[in-house]
Amino acid sequence: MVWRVASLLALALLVGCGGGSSGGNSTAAPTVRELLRLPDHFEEPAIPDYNPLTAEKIGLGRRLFYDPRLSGNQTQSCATCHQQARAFTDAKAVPTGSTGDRLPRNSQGLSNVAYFSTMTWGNNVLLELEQQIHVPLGSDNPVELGVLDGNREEVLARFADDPTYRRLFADAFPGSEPLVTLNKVVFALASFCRTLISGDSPYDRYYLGDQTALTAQQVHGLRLFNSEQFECFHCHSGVNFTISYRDANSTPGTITYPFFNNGLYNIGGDGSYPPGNQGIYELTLDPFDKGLFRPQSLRNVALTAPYMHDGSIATLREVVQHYVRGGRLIESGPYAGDGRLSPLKSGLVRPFSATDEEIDAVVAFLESLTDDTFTSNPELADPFADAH
Amino acid sequence: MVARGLVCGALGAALVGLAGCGGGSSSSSSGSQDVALRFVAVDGDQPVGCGDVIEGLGPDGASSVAVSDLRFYVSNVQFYDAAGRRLTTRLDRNEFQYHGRAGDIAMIDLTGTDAGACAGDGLTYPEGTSRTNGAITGRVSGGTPARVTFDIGLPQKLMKQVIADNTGEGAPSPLAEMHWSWAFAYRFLVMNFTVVTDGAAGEGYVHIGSTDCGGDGTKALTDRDACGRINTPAVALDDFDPQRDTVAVDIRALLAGVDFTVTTEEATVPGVECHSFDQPDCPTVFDNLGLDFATGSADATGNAVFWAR
Repeated sequence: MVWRVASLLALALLVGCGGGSSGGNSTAAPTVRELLRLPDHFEEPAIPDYNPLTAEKIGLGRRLFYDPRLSGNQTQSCATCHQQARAFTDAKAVPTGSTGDRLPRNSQGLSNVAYFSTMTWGNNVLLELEQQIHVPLGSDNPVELGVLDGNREEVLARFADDPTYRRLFADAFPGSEPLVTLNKVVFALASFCRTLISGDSPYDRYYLGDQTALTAQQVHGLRLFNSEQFECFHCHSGVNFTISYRDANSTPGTITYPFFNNGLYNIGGDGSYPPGNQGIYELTLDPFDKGLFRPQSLRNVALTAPYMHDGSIATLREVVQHYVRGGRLIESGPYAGDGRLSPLKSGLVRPFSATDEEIDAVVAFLESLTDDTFTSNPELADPFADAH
Repeated sequence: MVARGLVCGALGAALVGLAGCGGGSSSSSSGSQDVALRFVAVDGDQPVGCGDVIEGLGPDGASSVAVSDLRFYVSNVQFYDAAGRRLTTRLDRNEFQYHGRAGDIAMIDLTGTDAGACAGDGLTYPEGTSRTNGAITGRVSGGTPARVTFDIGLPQKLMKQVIADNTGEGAPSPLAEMHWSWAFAYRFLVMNFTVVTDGAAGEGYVHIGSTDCGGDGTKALTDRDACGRINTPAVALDDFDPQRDTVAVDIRALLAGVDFTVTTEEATVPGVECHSFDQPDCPTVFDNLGLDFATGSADATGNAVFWAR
């Protein structure tokens, strides 16, 4: 079980740039709360000191997020796999990278991504977006966007040669040369990703006192979600429905870094997952770490099918049924095994009885986390589409 | 009965680090003095740390446990002098001690996250934080402490205020920990631990907190002033000199009489479960803490877990 966290290895790479935006304008700079348009029931997210949030970086990052010129062969952008209408997922079990590589893991939803204590499905050393974004940009096995050693200068030159981007980079990183660097791209993308705040779902309106915002069935589902029968809340609690959480008030002594095995696989009876996709184990090679993945946020979960780290469960109802059963049974084939019997499964993933009506109610509650304001917010949308 | 692990436990380390807080007998001219109420996890006479295994528990002494996470809230700390007079007690403010409009609260956290079982290995639902705190500090005036009473948990009035005034994440330290999602208010005592019975591994979760707390499914205590079952253990330690004595938190006493099995729909496995609801281990654990499981009322004389050491 990984509850500790490794060193802040990538920080050293990242501190070189940024910094600059401490300009002394006479008008008061907007606060983080204003820049992110945070609802009152959201705390301020933790933002690293080396990349202070500014409107200019957010604007630049939004454009980069949607620009296919940010892939080596100009065929994909971040938005290829992170589509706003799907709460920044892509409806695929696993995506295909820009050069045709099949990726092993399901595209992450980005709702409230600023609040996770660790980034991605199964990595306990990626603590900041500024670290994580280097992965889809620069990974070479598998290739995602494919900004690699051989083409990095060419990719950056696309932006350095574009008058609009020249202005945006200069505004976002005033007085800093060279004008366009990979770290500046990453810092701007991280700033935009922090604005992906989802807090206006029917559940939020209910939380804030509107008793009519949820149906009776959804209220019933909420109570079941928080019950000792379903046990969902142990891992999916708090404002972002995950205990992988931190905000600006968190301290090193209180942040936790949870990863769990939920009994999705039990190959060979020793708790193994399919080779090459075993969660934290891929980093630690500790056999007890097989199948350990971060508990996902459930924000907008009805929009983010298919589910689990490999997209191997098609519907939300089947996900709930998976937990009712206490693990998944795969009867035949190379991945055969009964996840319910996994020796590595979380103690909270246990079989229990639930009626169809109860399962329907929990699903209905999960659907109340869909935030239409978020998926239709024009400030999070493709800026190139605006131009048409 | 305590098998020493290789790693010096964080529980013991917390004690050593904080023993200095007592501040000697430096009574000031106003008759007040520094006071520290120190806690240590024990198995009988033996302090228990993160690297330690407590053996010989359960039926036939066949079970052993190693503590991964042990945290609890303390409130209503009241010292008395030898004649039984109440002394004025004022707690310091720090990251483990909060003064609210509706009262004071402190958190004791006897487990970090890096040593022995506290690292979470072998437990599939570990919790816990890396910070530790083994003592409550403050000043007492009006006499020399010779007895102390306190409660394990949040006073209902304070809990109602904290829940009403804060988001789950925004509550001031130490109240941003151990909430049972807001619908259930707070947990007052959390002990997570690994279990081994006759060589078979299992897991233990003892979570004590108020239940039947009302609310609309998102926040507790919105429609009432107190939970239906308050479940706040009381402690009264006579002949307690805070400079000499520590408060023992006796793991063996907490788990006395528990059968160390958990029955799921498919099997019976080693383990302990009490989440203050209808788990079979709850009546026994509650009784050990001097709590009436049916009503949630507390009786300090029935609390066998906390004693003066």
